[in-house]
Amino acid sequence: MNVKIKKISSLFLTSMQVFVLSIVFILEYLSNRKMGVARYLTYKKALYETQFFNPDQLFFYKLILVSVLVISLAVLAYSLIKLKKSKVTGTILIGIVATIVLLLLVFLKDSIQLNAFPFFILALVIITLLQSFRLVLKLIDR
Amino acid sequence: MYKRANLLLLLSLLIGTMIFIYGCGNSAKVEKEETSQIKSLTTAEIKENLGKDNWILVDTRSNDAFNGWALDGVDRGGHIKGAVDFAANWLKVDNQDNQEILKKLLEAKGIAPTMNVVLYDANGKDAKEVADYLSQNGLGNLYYYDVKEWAADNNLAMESYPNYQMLVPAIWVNDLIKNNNDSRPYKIFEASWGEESEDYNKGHIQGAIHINTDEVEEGPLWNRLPDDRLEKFALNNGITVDTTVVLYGADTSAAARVATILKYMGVKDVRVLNGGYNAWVEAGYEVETTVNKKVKVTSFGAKVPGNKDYIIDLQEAKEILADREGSRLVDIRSWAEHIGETSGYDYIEGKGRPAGVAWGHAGSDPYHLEDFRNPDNTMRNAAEVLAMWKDWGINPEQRLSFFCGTGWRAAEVLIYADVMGLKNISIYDGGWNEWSGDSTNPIETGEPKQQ
Repeated sequence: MNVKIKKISSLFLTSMQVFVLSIVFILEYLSNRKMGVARYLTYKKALYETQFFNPDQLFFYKLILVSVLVISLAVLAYSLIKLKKSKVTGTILIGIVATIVLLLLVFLKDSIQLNAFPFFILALVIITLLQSFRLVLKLIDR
Repeated sequence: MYKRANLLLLLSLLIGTMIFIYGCGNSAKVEKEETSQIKSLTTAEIKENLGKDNWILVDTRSNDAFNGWALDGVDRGGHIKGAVDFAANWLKVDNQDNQEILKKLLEAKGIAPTMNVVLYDANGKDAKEVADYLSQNGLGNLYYYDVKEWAADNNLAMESYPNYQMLVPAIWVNDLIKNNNDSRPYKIFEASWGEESEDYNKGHIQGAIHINTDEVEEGPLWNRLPDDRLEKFALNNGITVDTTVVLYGADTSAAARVATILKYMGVKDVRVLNGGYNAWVEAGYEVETTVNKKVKVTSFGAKVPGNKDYIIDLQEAKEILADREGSRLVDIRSWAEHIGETSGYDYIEGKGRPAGVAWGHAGSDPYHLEDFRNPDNTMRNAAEVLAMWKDWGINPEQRLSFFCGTGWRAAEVLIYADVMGLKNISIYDGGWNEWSGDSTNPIETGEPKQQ
């Protein structure tokens, strides 16, 4: 792949990840400052709890996340031993970190107290997906 | 020759200046004389003309005096029966639309150039301020009356609201602080949303403690907390059933929300500052910025709730709707919300109203309550509120339960209804938020017929 295109696509993916995470932190911050934001997030949290985060669904997500983590660790080990590609290693590491944070959000009871909890989950899923896409691109390019 | 010309010029300038100064001073004097020359009427003349179609009696004092408080040295509180209110305070409201609002009020209250307008006060100042304003707006038949004379004669009818003491003036709160409520327990709370309140931090009444409205209600329905948690809230804030509790805020509806919940719980003496924090500031009393800490108590002193009928839930709301003759569920939301043009909230999807409710008025949008407030955010004249409700089939003799989106606007109207002395009143806590959340609850949209 053309070096310029690689750089632009990498920059675009990173910007998207930073943007998504920033929005969520801003929402969480504003929820302690603005009543309208707090109430809107409470409403969304209640809605998503019934639609996407009921106990059965949460158990299913935990299974998937643990599986993703195990696979990611295996890929990381493979890349370190066989591929010795630091850029790919770095990409996998970021993906692993995002997965671990997601797992913590889903497992820890306190995390549900976050006003923007569903949006944190959504943001981290997007980040993980973008990271996976970035990994695929790098593997293809290799 | 030049010297003479210069002298002449100087002389003309001097004479011209003197004429100018004398003329201006005289016109100011004339203006002042015109104001102070408004004819004063005697009590006998008032009695003779009261009730005539072309005479109108206007109370220019503060809303608190109109409601029932004996201020400025009068023997009896309240207003002359039949008088309308147009407070001098309203002229000083800092709002770019105030002039337009005042003109609409004059029209709505029947204070017109064709009328003989008797302006009364008790301090010798309010009536003059209103007279000046009215004469600038084309009203010429103005008269003055000192209401202290009327109040001194028990044979002359004065009207005050049965529970006017619930809505307190700033002077009463100031006296409460100075006299320490005669060693009886009292608390002053600033009520607004948020752990940290910008309004509170900018400045508050001395000794006031901040209450976060999330301490008494929680989402997603924003109903009051369960009774055991309300009791904990009271203990945490040092409130017992015998504490005199004064509530205020930049937004009176937040204070009213907490007030209705405290009354529901059974606190015997709950007061709301009429006109909110601004009333305190306008009165010129001290404000402080020190954050006052909550002081806990160990026992509320009674079982919660002590007044359970003050707040009702979904089941009772349905019973009220079913009882079309004896009861009304009253919608305290804007017209746009009532007819289903908007839900009014980002977090409420449904639009419309529960089928069978009456429109009780509110304001221009979910954050205003102009139909129940004067320009200085004090309580609107009860006669006007009742007339407004009568047009929409709301009878004060019925069992009335008020609701809005999540309970704030309805709480303020409930407090006013209580001040007016209405019996059998309550707030439907769930409001439109709860009703619209269940698709089995019947809903209406569109313009209702005025009853």
